[in-house]
Amino acid sequence: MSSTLPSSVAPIPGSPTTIRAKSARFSATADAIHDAVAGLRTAIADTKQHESDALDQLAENARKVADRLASLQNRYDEASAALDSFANDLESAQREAQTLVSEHADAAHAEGNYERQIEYYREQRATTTDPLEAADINRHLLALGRQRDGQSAQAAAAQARFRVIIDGLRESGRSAARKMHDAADGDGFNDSAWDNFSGWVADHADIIKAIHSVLQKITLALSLLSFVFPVLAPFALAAAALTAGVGLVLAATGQMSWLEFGLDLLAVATMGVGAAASRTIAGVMTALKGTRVARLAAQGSPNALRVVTGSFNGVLKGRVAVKLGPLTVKNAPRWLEAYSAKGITNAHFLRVVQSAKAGAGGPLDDILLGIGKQEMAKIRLAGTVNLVAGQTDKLFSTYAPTLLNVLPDTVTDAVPDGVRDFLADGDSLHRATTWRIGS
Amino acid sequence: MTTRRSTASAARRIAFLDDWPDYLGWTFVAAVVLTVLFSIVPFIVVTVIGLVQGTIPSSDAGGVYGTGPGYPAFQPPFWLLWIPAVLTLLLSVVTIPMRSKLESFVFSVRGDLAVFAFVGFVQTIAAAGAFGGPQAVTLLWASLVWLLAVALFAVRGLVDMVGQAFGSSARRPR
Repeated sequence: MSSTLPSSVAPIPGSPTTIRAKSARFSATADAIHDAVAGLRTAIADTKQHESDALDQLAENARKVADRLASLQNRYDEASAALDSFANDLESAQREAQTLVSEHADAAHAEGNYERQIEYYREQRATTTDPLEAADINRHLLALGRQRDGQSAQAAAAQARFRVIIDGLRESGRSAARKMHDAADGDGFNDSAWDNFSGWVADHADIIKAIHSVLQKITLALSLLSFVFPVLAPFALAAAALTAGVGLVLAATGQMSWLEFGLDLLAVATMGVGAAASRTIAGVMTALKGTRVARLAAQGSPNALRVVTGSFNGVLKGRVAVKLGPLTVKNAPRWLEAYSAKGITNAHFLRVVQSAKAGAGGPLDDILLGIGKQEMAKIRLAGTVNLVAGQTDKLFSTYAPTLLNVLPDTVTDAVPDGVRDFLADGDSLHRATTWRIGS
Repeated sequence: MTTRRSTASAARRIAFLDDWPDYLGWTFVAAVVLTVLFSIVPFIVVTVIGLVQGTIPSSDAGGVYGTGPGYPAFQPPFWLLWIPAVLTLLLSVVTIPMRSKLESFVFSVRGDLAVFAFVGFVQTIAAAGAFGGPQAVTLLWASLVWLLAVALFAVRGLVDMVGQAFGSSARRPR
């Protein structure tokens, strides 16, 4: 506002009428809130005539709402009063400025006239040869100079008064802004950065959910591929973490249930369990080697280390038969073997378990093999739990209700009411676990 | 693989799942590949196209599974899911006489097959309701086929587990 105010005498821009219209709207809003508060308080008073815990609870909630609304009403009342006050000041300033504009224009015009006359008589004085006439001109020039200075002083005074008006108007504007800010700041109804972020996520929820959906499927694809290409395992874990990150944003802003986010986390956790189990199996392999070397050495073998290392390396060479579910693939390629065992390290472990016999045996060897097998089972269990949990959730929360919506009535009517109601409301668990942080 | 007490079973051509004939193994692999190809891949393709074109419907219109102007870019031939559904049902019936080996401390191979059939069932339900459900009734029947396969795998697996827990040592897994 201050940037548009003129610094020298000129009409002051702005429309008090527009400002008053805004003020009237705020005032009307305040009145509407006032009516709502009055209605709520009447309803609260009515509940006292009944004996009901539910109504008491309702009245308590209504009282809190009424108190909050009353605070909100103050915001609009204050804003309306501040705008009204500023509109009055603006109108008064514009009126005074208009007078000054006339005065300043008259003074400037007269000053210009005197200036031109002074110039004329100076030329006359320069050309005259009569000393008496020159003395008369000098006196006249002195008089004109005084009159011109008088007009200059009037113009300067108008400028000074204009500056005072502008300063007053600026102060009035600042005061109105301060009052509105204080009123808005003090009632606790302001949008925080989190509110703004939540609003942005809500505006773009459909796109973000679609991205989340695609990320889930990419995670699934990468996790499958990482069985064949272990180098992809960290990327699968990263994709799962990214999916969970997007899920966290959606869940925290109330656009997705915390249950769904939990399943995202479960995917990260199961992949983490798988990765940790693979590392444990690698450690078991090293320990197995050490145990077998020690066992052979104790039995008197002169080259225990060479024998066991040869045994391990020997079984890691060549191709083996791989059981892919019910299918046995003879001379299976490495990728198929790694896929079947869910990782290269696991595949090596299985080869050692099945074929490396140098130094094998004894209780410690059995314990280590048992640990390795348990880790393999853990990898398998983690993947299955993730798969079944995710699919079951999707079935009841999304797929089944969607299907019920598109099936013709002749089909859905054949479904028992209880089952239909259960399936149609399959999202209830998600709704129950959906809330925005800070709500 | 035979045991001392299983000669009669061997006579009835009972086999461990590990010794399944190749044609059943390939049936299983084909069922898995076709399920992924006919259900998961079309969803990814349609969603990515929708994201690129900016035509993903709002959540109220079903989101990525719904319909809207320009979405889906095409109706995937989800009815093809009948093929893996029938293959899996076939697998679940043909393997009934076969005895499972308990490979880990939690699930048998039959358990894995039941989980796979369950995924097939869920994905078929998803396909049935997706994109306005033009193939809903067809795929609803297909989903029942999957469900039957899940039930057969699970029940037969439970019989295995009970047999292994309470049966003779000859019936225990290797």
